[in-house]
Amino acid sequence: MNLGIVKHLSIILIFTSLLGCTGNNIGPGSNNNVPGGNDEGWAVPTQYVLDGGVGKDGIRSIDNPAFLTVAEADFINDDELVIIVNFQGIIKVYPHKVLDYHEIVNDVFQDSLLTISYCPLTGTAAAWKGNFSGINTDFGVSGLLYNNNLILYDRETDSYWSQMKFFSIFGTKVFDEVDFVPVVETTWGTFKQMNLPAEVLRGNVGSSTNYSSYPYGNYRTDNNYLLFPLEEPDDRLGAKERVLFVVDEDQDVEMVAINYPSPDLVQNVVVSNDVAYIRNNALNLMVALPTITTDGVTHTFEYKHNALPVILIDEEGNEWDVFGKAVSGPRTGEQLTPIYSMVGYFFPISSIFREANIINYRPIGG
Amino acid sequence: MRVSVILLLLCLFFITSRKSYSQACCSGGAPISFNLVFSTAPIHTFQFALSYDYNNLGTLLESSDKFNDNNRTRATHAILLNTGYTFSKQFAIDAVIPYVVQVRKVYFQNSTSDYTTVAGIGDLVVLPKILVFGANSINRHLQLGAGVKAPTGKSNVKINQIALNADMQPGSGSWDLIFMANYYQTLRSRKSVGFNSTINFRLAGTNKNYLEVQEYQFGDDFYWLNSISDQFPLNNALLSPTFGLRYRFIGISKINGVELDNTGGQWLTALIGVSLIWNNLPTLNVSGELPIYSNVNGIQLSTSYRFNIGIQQQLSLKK
Repeated sequence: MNLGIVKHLSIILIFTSLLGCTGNNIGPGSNNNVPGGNDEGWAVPTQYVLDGGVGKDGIRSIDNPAFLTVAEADFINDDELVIIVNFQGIIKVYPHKVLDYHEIVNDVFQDSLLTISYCPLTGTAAAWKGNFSGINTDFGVSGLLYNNNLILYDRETDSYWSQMKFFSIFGTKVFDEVDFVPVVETTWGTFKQMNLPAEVLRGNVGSSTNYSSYPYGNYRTDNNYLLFPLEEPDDRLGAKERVLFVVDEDQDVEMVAINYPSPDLVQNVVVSNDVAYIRNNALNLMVALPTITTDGVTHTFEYKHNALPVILIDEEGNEWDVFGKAVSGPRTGEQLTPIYSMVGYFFPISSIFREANIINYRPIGG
Repeated sequence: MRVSVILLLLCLFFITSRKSYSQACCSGGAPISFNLVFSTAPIHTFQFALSYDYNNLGTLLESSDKFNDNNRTRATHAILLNTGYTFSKQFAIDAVIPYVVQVRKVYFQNSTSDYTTVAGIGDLVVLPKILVFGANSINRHLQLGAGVKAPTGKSNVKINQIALNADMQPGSGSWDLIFMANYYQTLRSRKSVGFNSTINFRLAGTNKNYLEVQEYQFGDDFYWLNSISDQFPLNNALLSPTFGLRYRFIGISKINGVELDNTGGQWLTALIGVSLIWNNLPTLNVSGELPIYSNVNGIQLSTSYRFNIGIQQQLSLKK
């Protein structure tokens, strides 16, 4: 009988050892990679910073991107959305269908690092330089989300950066702002109408996925399909309504929606606070540009149809393209100052920014 | 008899009536129902078992296709304590309580980028069982069970104040119903050869307090395990190898009633195990499972292998 007890104890000890093999620091808040605690050090409330489930780098950024010509990029359908970056005279196109799987591309334009990010959950894209704030770095997917929006981490200081807020929300660089580069989002078909020479991201070499399927089912269209809680739920528009929004220095936001049937918003250009909101539903194109040129002159813009990539003409006769560059007229070659704008789903905006004002909107049912 | 038929019909009704796609990473939790190990026992017998279960999810799949990406693993370690008691020839009850360690690892450029662990008591399963026939036979029996999985495990664990998703929690936060049917039959020509067929179905309830303001429902979980075992003398003990096939089907999870993509799936696994049976000493059970076929919804980490080792002992109170 004593022998039996000894054997029992031995086996229990073996089990205990096996458990110990998983780490002596088992338990919440011990040996984990999740940063922070009690909002200390965070620029945002941690109640709305959530673990997305995949872990840090669980979604793999593309760090050595490969590109195709426009003619070669036959894996993109005309109605699929793409992100266009025009930087240092080079135009590159990043299809949503690739970014849905990778979320971040660490790219090089001439000699400059540029990180392009896309958050499938909030539908927002951003580009910023890798060399700013004293760092020269790539970025990765942190695995955390703030109000459903992507949080990136930089691989030099391990600081965490909010994609939609454009600044660091945790780490040694907290509150430092990124050096952003504007992006244009539209469909592949609309981009092709622009007839611009471009390089098109082909996806991760070596990945077995062919990017043919959207990995989130009907997430893009189901207004009830939200994965994580929001700080300020907002039902003025449908959750997945795509809007163009502009953020000012106080983190206040103004926005227009692309398909929203506002009776007052039949025109393609709406001006508010010195910003022209340009939208064309048929082209699935929304762009925000300043109405004031660098010499302080305020311009009156009109939409120019059927002239892509030109979308505006002003009272001086200048024609401006989607990137805010004058391509004809007395100001040819002049560049409008980029403004901090994004296209994305409506639902996270009120939670991430201080004030969210919808321009010319009509309340649902109103 | 009537009760058991009703239980079986209920089980079949739920399986066929609920819309059940499948799921994946969230299937990674401790497979408690796999560990309802007790077979029939004499009246007034206590049964105890202590086991360690390791479930490794390291295969990234899109449907049945393997991704060329092995940079992440999810593993669930579980220590499971089983107890059972046989009240009469017909009625018995089993209970399982796990201690769960959830581990998530991601590798990036040959180093560990993410290593997150959560540990705690898991959910308790209590399963009353009825013997439909075979009370007086060691050669064949059919028993049915219906019970509950109670949310004794935490489902709101945070690390540094940052909430983890449902997959990484030790508990599900929901009350679930468990149904079980087990048939055993020995070969007439060789009584030591036994065929065992077990069906288990977990009807998942809803965690009403997921991330404090949301509702989360794991997919329903069904498996059918068919195995065959034999016994051979080995010194003063009996060696009993087992071979089996398990079909498992997990329904799609829901968040606030909306179906979650990349959850749910179906798997066919091969099981191989061995038991060492001594007189008056605990039986030692060791088993492993490897997937033969996996088909997940969307993209998910899927089980690469599973391993279980445990001891089991009976204690008769009958004088």
